[in-house]
Amino acid sequence: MLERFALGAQVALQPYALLMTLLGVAWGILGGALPGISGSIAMALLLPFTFGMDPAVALMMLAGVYVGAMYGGSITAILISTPGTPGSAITVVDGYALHQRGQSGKALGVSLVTGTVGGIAGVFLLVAFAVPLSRIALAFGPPEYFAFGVFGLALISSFVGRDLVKGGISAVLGLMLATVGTDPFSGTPRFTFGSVDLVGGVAAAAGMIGLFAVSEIFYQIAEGVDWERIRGRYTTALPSLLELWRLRVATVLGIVFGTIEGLLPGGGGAIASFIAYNEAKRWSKHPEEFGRGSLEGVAAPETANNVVTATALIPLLTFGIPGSNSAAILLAGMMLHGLQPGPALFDRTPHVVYGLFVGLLVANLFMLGLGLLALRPSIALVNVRRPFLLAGILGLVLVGAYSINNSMVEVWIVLLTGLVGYSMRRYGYNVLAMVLGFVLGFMVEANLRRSLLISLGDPWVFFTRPISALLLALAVLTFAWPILRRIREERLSVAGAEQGLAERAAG
Amino acid sequence: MKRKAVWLSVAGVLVLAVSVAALGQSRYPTKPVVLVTHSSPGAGGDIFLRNLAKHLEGIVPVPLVVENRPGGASARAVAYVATSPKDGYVLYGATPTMLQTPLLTKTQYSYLDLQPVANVFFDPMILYVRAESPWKSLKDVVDEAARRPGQIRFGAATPGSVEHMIAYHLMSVAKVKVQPVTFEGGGDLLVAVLGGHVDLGVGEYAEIASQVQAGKVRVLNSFTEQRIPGTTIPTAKELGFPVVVEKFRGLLGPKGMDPEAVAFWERAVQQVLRKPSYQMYYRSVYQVPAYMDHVQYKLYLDRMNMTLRRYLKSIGLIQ
Amino acid sequence: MRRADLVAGLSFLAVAAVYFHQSLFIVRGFASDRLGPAFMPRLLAGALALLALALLARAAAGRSEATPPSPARVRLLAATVVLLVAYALVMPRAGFLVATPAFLAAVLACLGVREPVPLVLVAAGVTAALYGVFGRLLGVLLPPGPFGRL
Repeated sequence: MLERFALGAQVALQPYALLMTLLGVAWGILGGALPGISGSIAMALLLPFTFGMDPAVALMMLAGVYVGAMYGGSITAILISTPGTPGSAITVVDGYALHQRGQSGKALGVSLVTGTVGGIAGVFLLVAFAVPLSRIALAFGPPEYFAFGVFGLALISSFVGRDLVKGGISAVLGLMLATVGTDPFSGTPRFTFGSVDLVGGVAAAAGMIGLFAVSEIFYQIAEGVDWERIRGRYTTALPSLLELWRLRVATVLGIVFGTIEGLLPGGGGAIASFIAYNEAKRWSKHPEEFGRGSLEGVAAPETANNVVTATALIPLLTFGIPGSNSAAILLAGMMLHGLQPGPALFDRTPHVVYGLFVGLLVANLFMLGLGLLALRPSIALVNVRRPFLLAGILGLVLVGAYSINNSMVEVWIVLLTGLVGYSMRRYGYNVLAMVLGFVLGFMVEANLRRSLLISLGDPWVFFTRPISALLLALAVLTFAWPILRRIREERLSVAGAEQGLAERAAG
Repeated sequence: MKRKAVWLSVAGVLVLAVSVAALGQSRYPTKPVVLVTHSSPGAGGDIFLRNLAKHLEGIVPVPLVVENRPGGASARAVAYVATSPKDGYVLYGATPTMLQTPLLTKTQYSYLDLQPVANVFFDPMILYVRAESPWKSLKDVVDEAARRPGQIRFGAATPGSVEHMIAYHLMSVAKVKVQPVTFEGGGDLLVAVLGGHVDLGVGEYAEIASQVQAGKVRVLNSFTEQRIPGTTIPTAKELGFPVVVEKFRGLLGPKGMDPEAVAFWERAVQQVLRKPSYQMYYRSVYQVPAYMDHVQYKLYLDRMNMTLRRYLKSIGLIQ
Repeated sequence: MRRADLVAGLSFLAVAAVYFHQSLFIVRGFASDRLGPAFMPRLLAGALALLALALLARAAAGRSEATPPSPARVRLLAATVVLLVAYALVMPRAGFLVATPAFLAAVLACLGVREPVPLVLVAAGVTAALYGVFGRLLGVLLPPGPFGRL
């Protein structure tokens, strides 16, 4: 093991390899930060340039893009409320809230530091436990995916706060949006209204740009306070070491859930970060800060996202199956260089595999460095007069929406979902619940139906399989917990008030 | 009036003759050629074209530019190519998706609005089980399916796809009933087979080759006309179940495309398929060269389209 | 916000009805699974209808909160939306480099930027930056318009 690591380090620490990795990370940060350009697209655009490179260097460069894109995505999520991937959707909640309170530097700094920690932890898990962890991936069949998705949906009760009716409506609208497109089991189009443009469904990125970013712009235009007063208040101060130390629980939770998420190929990419966020809230000493700008609320999902960059490689390297879109591009990169991923890869070309591992570690450190460099300029970009900022964001997200498929269809989707999102904010509905439903809807429905196919129609399959049963039980608990706690708090406050009255009467 | 027309056409012929003579060697192609794919960057169709373009360097004297026009399940790419100039500077890298989409949904353009140029590859499809499975051949599967009708969980892709069509044809040829289970991608299906969640799967050989080498997966047979080069995998046909379906990859241009350009690309495809560096690559990803000239390709696409239509009718997706 | 909830509840009922009605036209095919492609949509239509009824019941009971936005702001939003729709309609034909600066300038003017120099500079600068990054660096095929690609 150690010799192989040394071999990998020999390959990865050459100046040329380091330079390519650095370029990859920089390109990834840029690609991840631009709406509509995902990490996987940024990687694919670099593929042709890696043709002539040594395979180990090519893979390091691509992995660098992958790592950089994760942080890039959180820049736009925090500064302009535009998540690049479903995974950073939940980052918007507290990250953008922190930014609006002026603590932009802190939010970005936390994302950067915890992301680096998560990425490095992920590499160690990958190196040490690739084979045992890959068994988890095999244990997850359709019923387990379904239960995991339901677990994700159960978080809605925690996200929506008091108003369960409006929260429920929001989530159902999201689930409905997810049913648009070709039905996976009959091959028949649903809710496409005869348009071939919708047979692929509503692009996740388009839905999120509309619901988060465009609706926020509309909200600021229609409800914004005096614009001139908020000018120039976004600060670049970084989090202090003490503040970072307080995030340790949230970070560990992020590592745990990110590990699981990376192992499940085809799983709804966002669930890990959603669950990590929710658990961080439950374990936090200040759960009331969540949703209003909690540093822990940024740390947990961002750690989880970055762990995924490493653990998504486990199914790739052990089965040749990509655990995410970006891992699929890495797979393509391997194939282009004549490398067949799979167990034999470790023995046949250890310098490539371990070079990639060392490269990932290096890429995470580069991400930290480049991220710190990019922090001030990116905050400076949003520290302009409000009309300029709003127009600039509009231009950016419209081009971003267009670039998803090189077509206007996504631009229209972004406009429509933006209006829907604005109305929802205006009248007390929950955009996050809608996004959750939208992102998880397809996975939940597909695996529900697939489970019934493999069980030959037996609905008990969800309860007789232990992992699935456990996840469903957790889902029930997760759903009920916030409601029960609220009821108890209300009772306590009523009791407290009564006691106070009684004491006063006695006094 | 009539005389004027005659004069004009004579003049036209003269001009044409002179310009052809003057141009001499510098005929098609004289400027970059755009290769259009309906895949997003990094997906199968995109990789195919980018690699083809890379290996065509030296064979085609002009730069080749790959353009991604995803969306609408290939409809946007087909529409773009169908409405492009016919001078041969826009080509489409086709897969069976191009045939399925217009059959399933109303689209403005179909493959009939395109000029087949040349086919390049077949991606061989195979039937596989995990190593722990008791089945050693297709016959074992069919026997078991006859014993327990509708109980064997047969993993394939969405109805309407090539994979599903194979599963469906196999059932009707072998006269057995199995339980098809749909997955969104070959990778998801492979994990489900490895994890024992389904009993067997049908997919592209390239996707599972590494698991075969690792001894985790056993291939029962292929659905190709001939055995996959470099393997001893029997075909379904030689086992007595004549199911032959391939995923094709080829080039098409707009209908009415310049015949000179068509001929140029026919030669270029034949040449690149013989190029050793390209051979090394496509063998490593188990793509089988399957060159067809534009006449053969047109007949092949017509036949494939008919087969697909019949199959979609038989599963009730179209009337 | 009693009235808002009332209107919203009725609209959601309508959405549920339309969505359910559309689900009747989903072709099932013979190769589908047991639940079928229309199962989930009908479940969702039912859930939305129930939730909408709950909302209506609550509105009838008269719990109220929130205030409507000021009419001036609503007009500003409406103007922005009109500009966006116009941009989405015109951009594919006029081309990215023509439509985008015009759109951005209009939005800026609409949001109260009166100084012509910053207005023009920002509109042109943002367009140029977007074109450079998306159109050039990332190879996005932005609509070229009548003047072709630069």
